This record gives sequence, C-alpha cells and structure tokens, in this order.
Amino acid sequence: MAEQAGAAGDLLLDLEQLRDNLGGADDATLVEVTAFFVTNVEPLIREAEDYAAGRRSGDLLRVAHAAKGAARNVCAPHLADQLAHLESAAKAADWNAIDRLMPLVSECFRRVAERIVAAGKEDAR
Amino acid sequence: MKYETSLENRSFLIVDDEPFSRDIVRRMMAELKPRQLDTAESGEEALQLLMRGDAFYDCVITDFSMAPINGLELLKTIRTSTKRISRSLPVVMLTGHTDSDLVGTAIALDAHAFLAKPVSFKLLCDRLARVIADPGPVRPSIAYSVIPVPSSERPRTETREGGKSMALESDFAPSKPFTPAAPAEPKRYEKQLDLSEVPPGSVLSRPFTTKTGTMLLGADAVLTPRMLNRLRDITDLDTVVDKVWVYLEQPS
Repeated sequence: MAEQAGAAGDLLLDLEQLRDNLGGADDATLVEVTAFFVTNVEPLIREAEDYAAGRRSGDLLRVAHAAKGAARNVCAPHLADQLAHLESAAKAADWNAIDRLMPLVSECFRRVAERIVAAGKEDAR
Repeated sequence: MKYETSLENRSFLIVDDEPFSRDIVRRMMAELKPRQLDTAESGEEALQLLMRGDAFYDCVITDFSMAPINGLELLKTIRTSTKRISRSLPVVMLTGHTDSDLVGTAIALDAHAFLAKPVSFKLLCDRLARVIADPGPVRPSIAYSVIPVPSSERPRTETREGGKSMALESDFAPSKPFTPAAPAEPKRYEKQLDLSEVPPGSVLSRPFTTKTGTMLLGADAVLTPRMLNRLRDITDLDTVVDKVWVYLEQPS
C-alpha cells in the first residue's frame, strides 16, 4: 500500500505516518481507515462548496473545521492546511479568499481520495 | 518519562463530533483492551453518559469544538459538578493548531493533558498513563465556576480583559501573606529556557503566550511538574513556542 500512495513525508497523504500513528496498523486496517475518511469527509467538502456558494460563513466555518481535523488525523497535511486557511477565511467572512480557496480544497481532497482508492486497489491484488 | 501504570482494563470516554476523528481514536484505544470504551458525539451526550448511575471512567478524551456543548463547557461542567460526576476526572483535550487560543482556558480548568492532531497511539498512551498515574488534585468548584468559557454559539476567540492570564491552576503556589519584616528575596535573574530544561518549581518571569499573542500563563506563575507537562504537550502545536522566560537564582 505504501508504494502506491503516501511515502513517508508525503504532504498529500503520508500513509507510513498514519500506520505509525495507529501503532503499526496492517494494510487491511489502513485501507479500512482511509476508506472511512473518504466516505466521511466527502459530504463535508460538498457541504463546504454549497455553503461557500450560498455565502453562509458560519456553516462553512463549522464544516471546514471538522474536515480539517479529519484530514490532520488521516495524515493529509496539505489538505488540512488548506482547510485551515478556508476556516480562517470563513471566520473573517472573507469571500474573496473563500472563492479562491474553495476550489483548491476540493481539488486537493479529490487527489487525496484518488490516492486512497488507488492504494486500496493495490492492496486488494 | 515512563509511567508504569497499566492502561489495560480501563474505562474511557471519547467525545468528538467528527466521526472519522472519533473512530481513529476509538481504534487506538481499543488496542488497550479497555474494560469499557464509550463514544459520544457531543458534550451533551458525554454528560448524559457521565451522569449515568453505573458510569465510571478512568479518563475522558475530548475535542474542543462541538455543539451544542463544546469541550471546554464539558470540562467546566465536570470541574463544577455537584452530583454524580467526579470533579477530579482526568480529561485529555484533543487540540488542533487553531485551538491554541483556547488552551489557556483549558489549563485554567485543570485539563490534565493535551494531545495535538494528528493523534498518535504512542503519544495517546503516554498522556493516558501520565494522567491516570498522577491525576493530581482539583480546586473547589467555585474556583472553576468563575472561569469564562466561550460557548459553542459564540466566536471561538475571545480577548481577555487586561491581558490577564486565564490559568489559575490548583497546584500554583499560594500567594505569600503580607509580612512587615519580610526577608530580602534572593537575588535572581531571568533566562529563556527550553521547556524540556525548565526545573520544576521555576517561576515565569514573563507571560507565556502563543505566537499569536494569546496569553496562556501570566508572569509569576509557578511551573509545577503538572503544569510543565501540559505546556510540553501543547508545544506540538505550531502556534505554541517551546521556550519560556523563568527566574533563576544568582549563584552565591
């Protein structure tokens, strides 16, 4: 799994760090955990997009914060950092920044999810 | 420091409204073969579990940001409890990098430890072993009831009046009584030290603040072993510095 996605120190998805954080989890556990991350965070990203479009900064702040914590815990630091920027922008109701950051967050999440899916397929072989 | 306390056969409560983060902590704690492992999606649900007649937890691990009752409100409710909840219940706060402004309030409410995200099994075990081995005393309920806590409905950052420190930890040294003929204090000087080098019992010569300027501890606070542990916990956050200014005595 590690060869396919997330070498140590990978800012997009560091699966070796996640494995270590989990106390030395096996590949099957990593697949399960990362799949749960995608299932759980994808709706948050969709919600964030809707709230950004609907100019609902309070709701955007809430979902960005929740997604950020999950991204940090799955060891996707780049996504977590971008969500932190989005959270700050939502807190300040800075719509220019939100309009700039939201597509970056969505794209970053898509790449993380792709990596996770690819890693899961690799593991299933 | 290694703690010999066994973490097996313990009872834990995990509180986090974000399902993935809650699940990842639950997975880690399941490895400890707990006697009981409960999860709650909010502070409100956690309080219901804590007030259950048969509930006894060795430790609560909670996130800060939740609704309708957030982690700080949960901690304050525990510390001011007059009923079924043990006020000295060890509480470990899960912290993100943007939570550092709230850490001062958590210290004032005698949170036992902090654990920065991403959560790791090793650090989780370290914190749990530490707080279970040495939970330490808590102050009277009234001391906590006066501490203002941002509710989940209000903005997460609050400025504090007069820049006064929020931390009022129970094991702070009591203020000295007035004595007309007090002996001259020993000559001392201030020095900046890495937190790992600070001798327990040292006194802060300058406030301990985050990089964004939020005061976590005021000058003259005594750095007890428990307080040092908490400050070391939060240096995992980008926004918290790992050095403090303390008074040292002049060598004679």
